[in-house]
Amino acid sequence: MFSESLKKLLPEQLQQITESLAYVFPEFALLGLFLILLLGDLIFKNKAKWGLFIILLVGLIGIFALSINQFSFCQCQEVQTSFLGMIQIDSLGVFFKFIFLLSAILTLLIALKTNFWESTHFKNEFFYLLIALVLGLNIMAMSVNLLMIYIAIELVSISSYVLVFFHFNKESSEGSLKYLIFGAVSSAVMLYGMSWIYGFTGSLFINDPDFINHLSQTPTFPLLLALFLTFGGLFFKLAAVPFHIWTPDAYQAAPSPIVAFFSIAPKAAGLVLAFRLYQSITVLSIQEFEFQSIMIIVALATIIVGNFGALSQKNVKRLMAYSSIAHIGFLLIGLVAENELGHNSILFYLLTYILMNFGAFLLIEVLANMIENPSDKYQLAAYTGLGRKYPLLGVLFSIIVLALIGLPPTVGFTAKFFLFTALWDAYQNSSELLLLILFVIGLFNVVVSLFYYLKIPYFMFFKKENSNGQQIQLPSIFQRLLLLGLSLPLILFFIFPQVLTQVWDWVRF
Amino acid sequence: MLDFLPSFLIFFPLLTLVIVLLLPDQQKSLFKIITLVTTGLQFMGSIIIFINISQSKSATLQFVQKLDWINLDLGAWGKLSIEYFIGVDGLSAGMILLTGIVMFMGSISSWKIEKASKGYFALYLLLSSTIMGCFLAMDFFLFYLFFEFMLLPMYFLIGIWGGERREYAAIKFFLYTLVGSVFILMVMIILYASVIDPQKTAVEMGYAQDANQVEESILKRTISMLEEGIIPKDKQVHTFNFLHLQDSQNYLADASLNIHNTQTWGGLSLRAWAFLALFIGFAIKLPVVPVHTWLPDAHVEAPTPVSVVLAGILLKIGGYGLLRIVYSIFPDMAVEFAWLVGLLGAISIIYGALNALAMSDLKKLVAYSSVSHMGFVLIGIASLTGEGINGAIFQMFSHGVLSALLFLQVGVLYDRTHNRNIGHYQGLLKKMPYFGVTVIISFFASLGLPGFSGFIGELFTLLGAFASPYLSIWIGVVSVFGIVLGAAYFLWTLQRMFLGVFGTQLSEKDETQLTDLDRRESFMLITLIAIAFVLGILPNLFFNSTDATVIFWLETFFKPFLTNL
Repeated sequence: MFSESLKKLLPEQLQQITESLAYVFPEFALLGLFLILLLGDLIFKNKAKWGLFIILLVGLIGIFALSINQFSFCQCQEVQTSFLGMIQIDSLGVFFKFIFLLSAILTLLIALKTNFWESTHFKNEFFYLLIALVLGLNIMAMSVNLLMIYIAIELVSISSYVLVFFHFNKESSEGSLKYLIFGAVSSAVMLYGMSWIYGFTGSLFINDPDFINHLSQTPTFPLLLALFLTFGGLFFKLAAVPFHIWTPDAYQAAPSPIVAFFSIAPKAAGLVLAFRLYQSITVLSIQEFEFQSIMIIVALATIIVGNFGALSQKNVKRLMAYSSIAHIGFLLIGLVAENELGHNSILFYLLTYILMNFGAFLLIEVLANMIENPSDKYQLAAYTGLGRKYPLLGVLFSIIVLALIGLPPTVGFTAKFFLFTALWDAYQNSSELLLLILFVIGLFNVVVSLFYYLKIPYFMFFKKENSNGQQIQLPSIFQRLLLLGLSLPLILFFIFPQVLTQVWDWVRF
Repeated sequence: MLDFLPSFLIFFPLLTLVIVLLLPDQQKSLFKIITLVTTGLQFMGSIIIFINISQSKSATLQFVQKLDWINLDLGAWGKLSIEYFIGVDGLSAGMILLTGIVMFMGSISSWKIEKASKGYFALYLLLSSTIMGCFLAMDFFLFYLFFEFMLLPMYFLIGIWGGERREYAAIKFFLYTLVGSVFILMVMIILYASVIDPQKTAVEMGYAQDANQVEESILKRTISMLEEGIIPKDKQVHTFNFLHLQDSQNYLADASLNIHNTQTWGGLSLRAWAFLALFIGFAIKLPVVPVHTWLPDAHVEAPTPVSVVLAGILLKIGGYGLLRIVYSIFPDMAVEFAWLVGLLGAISIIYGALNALAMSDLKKLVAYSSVSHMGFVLIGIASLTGEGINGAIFQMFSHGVLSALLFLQVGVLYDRTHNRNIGHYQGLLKKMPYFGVTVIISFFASLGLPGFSGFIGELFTLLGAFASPYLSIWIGVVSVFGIVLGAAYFLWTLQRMFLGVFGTQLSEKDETQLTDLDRRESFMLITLIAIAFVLGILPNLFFNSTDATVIFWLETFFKPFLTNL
């Protein structure tokens, strides 16, 4: 009897899986690229660094082009689920896949000529770990099944632990170990939360009607606890308070290009998942359900901790770590606003954040090359006078800093402007006092962030330089062009925001 | 025909800025000449605008340019419309002329800047563009853009070319003003979320084809639909246009900022909170005691031309913003909080004057006298009377000229000896007779001697304060006392520094530097004194530009609320 049904079921499922393969073509391409690079590295060893770099770059760009296909596919069709409903292909997921690919490409480009790239410790594993990361992130962006989510997060986390260690020194082992320990704990916490949810609902599919129905019958307190535990794992990926503690150490330890990638891609993936989970539970009965309040408090705490933590930092990478925490807090505003504009603002904010973040880390590396003393390379105080000597770098860094603060005339202002508009609208409609508090305190945090971001132009321009003209490595033409390409759009998109807002028509929530 | 002029004032400096950036670093004299010519042309442009406004004697907005800049569909939330909308009326004409004069004087006074002069003049040009933009903008977003963008060149100008504690002063300036800006931004977001552009909404609803040619009846229909709250959300076109923001009919029926909304937060309506937030934002800029503490630091540490610009124009943006934005959009609250604004004005007058009395640094003394003089602007505005508001605008202009004059004079001394301590000089009149005479004239002009512009400004604001039904008589009485204090600190300083036997506590080398004015300095000082004198004798030259607008402004915005009392 049992085997009878299995006999019928199995081929059916197998067929479904084979059919599903077509939907995950980019992921298979990534896997293929991964294997090619692995083999290449095994055969040619260290001689193949440039070869592998080019293969990876071309491969990523190729996959980028292929995904555009998938994008138009999502446009004309309904949301597709495949692999027995474990993953879901929709325009939202595909949009985020673009973000991951773009980040990976930019990571490769800004890695060129940096300390990390030139160092004798450089290992070709960097290339395929990066692909494994992107693969994991892609799956994260598509999963709608708790188990799948967990596996994707683990794939991302494990690649990340290793990448943080890529300077191969004492500092990086500390950072990476801290990351690993926090990561392992939060994975466990998340798994525990998921098991509770599975216990309540008997389903792992977050888009399953039963999932919601059963959740709505669960008593409030255990439900909130289970949800918070589950979200804990995502907060860890997002580096949101209270799961942010690993960030400064990991960021300080890891090579800058990798940090730049970490401060965008995994967070974006965390945001999609948070969005999907949050979306499925907002349908629950609203009255006694306080999860929005929890999210608001998390967003508020994240903004405050990030900004105030950054105030006393003297190391640029630590400063950027705290600033990235604060930025996640701002992005969470789009989530808690629970309206279309809020969700759209997240997309807009992410697109602009890619530019400023990669621009900032590229500049950090360019400046690090100019600083003689190895222990000072990432010290703010070592930037003294560099802006006066190299005005172009100083001006570009100032533009990026303005964008990070969110001042006009940069697109950073526009992004924050949309988010807070959405937040005000949410407040107008719900009269929830916490939203008003978030609105006011969130805006005033811009002033706090001004204080630490301004340290960068402050040291670059206000202080007289103390070096006596030693030989330093100037940025290459390629790096200068890349810098211009990352920072000038920050002003252009302020004047023409409609270029970026086109995305809103493409992505359906 | 001259409609392009305001845009020229904004964009021409940007153009020359690019030229300055492209020139090689060594062309130091060329940078100066380019800046001088640019600000000179701006000066001439502003004169033309001013004369046109004065002659027309009408309250309508002139030199209007209105283009769509950003039109975004924000989905279910509605649509967003940001316009490149600039124009001049009586509120701004004087300020634009002032900007023209002061920026021109500032660029002459920058002649001696040698350190990194390319960067200096580039930032100076950027500053002149943004200040013009700020006074010309008729769209809140555009205004905010210029308002914020001004901070950055200012930050660098103080922080790189300033005095000893320049870094501290620059950061303090930036932080204080940004706190103010965030208050303004907060209200700006709430405002544009609450207000729609009736013409464009009518077009969205399909009642009209072109937003510029909407018939009266259709407009009325749209407005009445708005009152009933039946315009679907995604058809609403949210606007930043000042003219729309000022019209209480354009507010969404369910918006908390709607004048009929009775909901309160901590005992005050949202309109009251918004008014207070905006007021704080501009009060920091003005500055009003107790949020004035950035001003002495910034003024003292800034290089002379930047102090001139800071005191001459930037403070006026605070006063201008109060009139153009805070009072025009929230007239009801302006009436309700007149006592508070007046009180703060009186406190600023007295507190600033008392501080000035205690200063031993000449530049700090001038800085605190600014706080005191801007207090008169505040009581004039608070009075909500024709004479008070006209007087406030006049006082802003007059103080712009006089404070520029005073800071230039401090600069003359500082350039020579790098010492501004009042107690270190004695009998300077004997050593530098021309300089001494200009200082005596400008001190008397500043303390309110009849015949100079300072007197007119103070007189009219005080007349307004006494005539105003909203201000207690004590506000006026206390403020008058500020004039006495003003006379005290100016005359005392004059006596200590310029009268008596010549003598200094400087090194001999510095003492030999004390030469009289050169031609460049005399030109600047004499021109400014002449302006203050002419306006003191013929104040109507200025009032012609403001009066029509002020009367119209009081009539349209305040009439409904005035009768309540």
